[in-house]
Amino acid sequence: MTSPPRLTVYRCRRDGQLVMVRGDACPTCSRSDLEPHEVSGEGFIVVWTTIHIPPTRYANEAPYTVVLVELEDGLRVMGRLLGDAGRGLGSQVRLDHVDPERGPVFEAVDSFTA
Amino acid sequence: MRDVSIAGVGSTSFGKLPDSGIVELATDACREALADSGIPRERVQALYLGNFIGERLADQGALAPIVARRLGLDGIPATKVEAACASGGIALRHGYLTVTAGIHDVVLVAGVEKMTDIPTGDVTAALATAGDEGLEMRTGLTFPGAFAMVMQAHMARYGTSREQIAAVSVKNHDNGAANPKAQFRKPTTIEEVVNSRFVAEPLRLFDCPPISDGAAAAVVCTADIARRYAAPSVRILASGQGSGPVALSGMDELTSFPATVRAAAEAYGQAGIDPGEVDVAEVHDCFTIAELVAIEDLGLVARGEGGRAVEAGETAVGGRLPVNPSGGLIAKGHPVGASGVGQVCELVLQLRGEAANQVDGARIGLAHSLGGCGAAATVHILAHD
Repeated sequence: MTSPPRLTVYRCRRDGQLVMVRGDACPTCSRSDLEPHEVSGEGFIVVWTTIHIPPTRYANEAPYTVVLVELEDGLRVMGRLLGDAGRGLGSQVRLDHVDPERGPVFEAVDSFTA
Repeated sequence: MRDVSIAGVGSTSFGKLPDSGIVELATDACREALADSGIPRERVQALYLGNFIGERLADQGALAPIVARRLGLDGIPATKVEAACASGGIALRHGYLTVTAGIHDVVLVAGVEKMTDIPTGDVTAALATAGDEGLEMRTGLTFPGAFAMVMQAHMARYGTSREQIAAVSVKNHDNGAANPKAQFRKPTTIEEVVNSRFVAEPLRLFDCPPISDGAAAAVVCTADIARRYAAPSVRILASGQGSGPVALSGMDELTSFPATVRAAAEAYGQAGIDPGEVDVAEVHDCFTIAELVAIEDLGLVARGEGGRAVEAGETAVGGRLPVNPSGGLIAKGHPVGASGVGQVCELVLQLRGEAANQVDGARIGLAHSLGGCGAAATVHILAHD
């Protein structure tokens, strides 16, 4: 069995604080002395929306669901949800893969195990 | 610092205006504002023009110099200002700053957008550039989607009901029905709002503003010059501006925009007033939920009380604090680069006693403009001079 996919973020070399992208300021020291860092792709849905009127580039994909996920490390990340069965405030999700164009794609833990 | 006034305002109707291009919209509004002010065109020393997506939707950059030249103001510094939907508000602020600082005596401020002859998917994509592409918008999140998330958070945190949020749309459509410049001139009902089709669940079509063409303009000058030419004029008591997270994942709290809170604190401090002294407000209702967050962030109602206040009629014309008597962006229309200046035009008419949906005895007005999902905000406080 392959290990679950993880998400690459950045960590402050001084404080250990996590930020999403290279160039971000550390929330503690405001410096940007960062190194790549892998985090678990598991977390819960903070809020979700199902897009019915999409931008042109995804015209053929609607409706699709976008979720704001809080990862176990406390970082928040925006991603797609596979299907919409698991959408719900507080629902558990895990990273399925990172799409090169769409970014992180999550799957609902409940619908996965069911 | 010098006292600054608005000597005149002008605005096109907001809506689908197929006979006017982006430059004509801007020049129409500017000429109307200049005529309203009575100040000779030759006295205008600078132009600040708010515009968000003219390059994308109207294939036109370098908009400010084009507009200046068409107005016969060739040679003056002409600057386009962009901060998504707060572009117009920030253009006004720049006019205010240069006059109060003594750099210019008379400045023309305008905002414009041309959006209706473009397919909806392309407009949706253009508006989404106000979000963080690398972190969030590439997922396919849209602007309605971002505010759908804010709506969920507000409902979950404060128990705000679907009907309370819909009441914003009903109130603003009622107001728009009486505003001759408004795109929507027809009332709606709670039932119609909550049964309209989904744009981005749980947000529906009647929670959204229309796609609009339009322009608005104001002549900003020293209070002395305004008194000489214009009767009546309106004083700009304060101008506040703030910025905040562009990405929702960077927000500490999804139910408040720090950019608005900061701009409001600055403006109230400058004006020396507290929120309770505001008689009428035009706030950035880019979606129904945005109006509730705005009136809470501006301190016009207590935190979490926005839904209750609108449902109780406190923000209706004739209520304790009328909000968006123009119809707001939802009913008046939302030509994004123009909206911030359009609000100020409406407030000037309110403070001169000339507005549609006139608020009786209005002496202090507040205009709030928001860019992106909290990326930028301005707050201006105006007073009857």
